Amino acid sequence: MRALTTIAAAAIGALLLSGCLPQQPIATPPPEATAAPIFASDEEALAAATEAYAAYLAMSDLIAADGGANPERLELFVTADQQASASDSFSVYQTKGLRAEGISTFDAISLVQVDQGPNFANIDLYLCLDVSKVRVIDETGSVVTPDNRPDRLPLEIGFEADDSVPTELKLARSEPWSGVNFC
Amino acid sequence: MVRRKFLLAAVATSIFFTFTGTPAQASPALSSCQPSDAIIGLCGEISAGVGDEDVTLGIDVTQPGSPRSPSGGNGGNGGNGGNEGSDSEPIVDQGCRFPVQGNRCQGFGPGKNLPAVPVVPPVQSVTLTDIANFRPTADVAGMEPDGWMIIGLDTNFFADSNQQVVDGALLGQPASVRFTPVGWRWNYGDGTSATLSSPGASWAASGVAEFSATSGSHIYRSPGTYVIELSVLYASEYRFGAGGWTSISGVLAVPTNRLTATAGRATTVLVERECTVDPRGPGC
Repeated sequence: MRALTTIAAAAIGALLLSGCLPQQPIATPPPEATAAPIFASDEEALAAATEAYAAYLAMSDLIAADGGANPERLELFVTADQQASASDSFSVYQTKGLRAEGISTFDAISLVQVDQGPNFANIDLYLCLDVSKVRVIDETGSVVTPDNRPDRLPLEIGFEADDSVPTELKLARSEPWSGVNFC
Repeated sequence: MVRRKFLLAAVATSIFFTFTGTPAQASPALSSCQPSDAIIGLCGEISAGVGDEDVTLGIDVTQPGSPRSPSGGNGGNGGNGGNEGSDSEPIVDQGCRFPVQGNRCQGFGPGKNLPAVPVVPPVQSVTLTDIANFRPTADVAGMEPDGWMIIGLDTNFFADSNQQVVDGALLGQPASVRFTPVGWRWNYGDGTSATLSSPGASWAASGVAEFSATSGSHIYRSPGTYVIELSVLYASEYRFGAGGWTSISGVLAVPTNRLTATAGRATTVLVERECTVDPRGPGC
């Protein structure tokens, strides 16, 4: 038995030395990944981002209507950074005893860029946030909506897909657009 | 009702006067605008551009172009629903009078729960417009490879950004303004742009191989010549003499040098020896 093993090993060694085993071809991988991206088209990415923003906005309104209570309810919709910003924002409601009444809407949503691979996606968009239908109420029930509040805001927002669930978009960025007001 | 509104107006005015006596938190950060901020009037950004001469400033977001309310007054539609009389009372001036949390603006009037602080002589709150003659030195944008890129591979962009302190006169008194870079807005010239939270670094400085993806890299998809622009967003703070730093609402966007680069395709060929070893070999 021992002899057989030795012979087999010697035979394989001889094959290797003689170069008869097919050599692994050295292939240069193409620079672009061949796996399918998360979104098949820009339209699909825009549709997914629109849906995600609508869900995010509805939850944000709900928390604002509750006077900023339990802002962690946004966690499903935003990244950790945005959750921190949102919690800061809602803490203003809590300390000042404010709550919102009404529904925020958005329109004019357009794609800036989609950067994606098989397991990640970053989607940047512009949109107009409309808070004209939302009133601010204080503890006494009085309407204290700021007089100088812009009711329609041009925003630049960014979504990121979660690594674990690539199709689940989370809001990663929400900034006022500094260019020409398109709203 | 009318009397009550008037009292609120008085409270708001006194708080405005005391702002400069209140130490503000210095927390430079990119201005974020959550819907919940927008509802209570906390969204807004002041943009600026540096030309050859000086800084030009303008308020973009807080002053929409078209009138929002046909009812006149201060445009508080949806606000006091039917209580038209109160709209004509100027409770708060436009602009940021109640800065909270660094660069945010506390937009509404009465200022409930704001701490009572001693009244100091009325001094205007400092805005980006006031520091227009303080100009940060423009950053230098760089890219790798320098001046060209390979389609489908990462091109690395980065900026040399530092905190800067500029001395000068503010509201007639000697003062310093500290600019802290907080954002890098790249326009890649191919129709895409990105606002990044870090300046990026060269491949060598990042310790990664050439053409690696980095936080600042971008992939071009078609051949051509591209003009790449970078604006660095600065948070700003001011101080008089050796006093404490007070942050100024808004973010200053300062353009840097433009980069012009050509994107082309790269093909690989097999050669007998490395071209550096045998430059005249076949394929080299």
